[in-house]
Amino acid sequence: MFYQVINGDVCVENLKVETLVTASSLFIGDTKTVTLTSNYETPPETLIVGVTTPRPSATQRS
Amino acid sequence: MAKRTSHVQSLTNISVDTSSVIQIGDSKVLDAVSNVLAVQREKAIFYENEFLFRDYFTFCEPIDVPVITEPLEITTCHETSAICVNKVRVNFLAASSVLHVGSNESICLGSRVKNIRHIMKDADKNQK
Repeated sequence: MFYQVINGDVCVENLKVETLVTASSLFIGDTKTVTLTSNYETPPETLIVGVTTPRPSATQRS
Repeated sequence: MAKRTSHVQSLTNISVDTSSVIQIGDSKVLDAVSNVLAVQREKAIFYENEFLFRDYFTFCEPIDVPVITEPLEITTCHETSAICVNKVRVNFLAASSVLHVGSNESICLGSRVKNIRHIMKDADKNQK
């Protein structure tokens, strides 16, 4: 596929964004290839109830 | 790639997190990767070699990125050689995110986040 881009004026007066979350991008201008990947794991998958803090010996790794 | 100059009057930002980028001007390639393991324990006792990235599948799992097979040919020409921005306000940039004023060729952002909560049982709470 072949296409041509002719950019005129790019004038931004006022731009307000609260938050850009993980692996996101805000562009004023142009780009060719954008690859965004995100892997998010949060409770309840890993909410562990009844955990006692490990004893020092249990965490000694070789 | 035709170049342009970016004019930014005012840019307001509160916090930029790990491996995030605020770019004013052109760039060619941008790569940002971040791994976040957030552990919240009711009894905040942590040991040095406890939480390792390699122990969790979230950080080892390969993410397959779609490949563009179609031949792509883009030619861009800019009538004006300037990007004018008066006022930009981006309060927070979380892990591996990009605020870019200007042109770019390729950008590749990746983030892996895992949250763990350890809450004590009621019996343990009474022993505190």
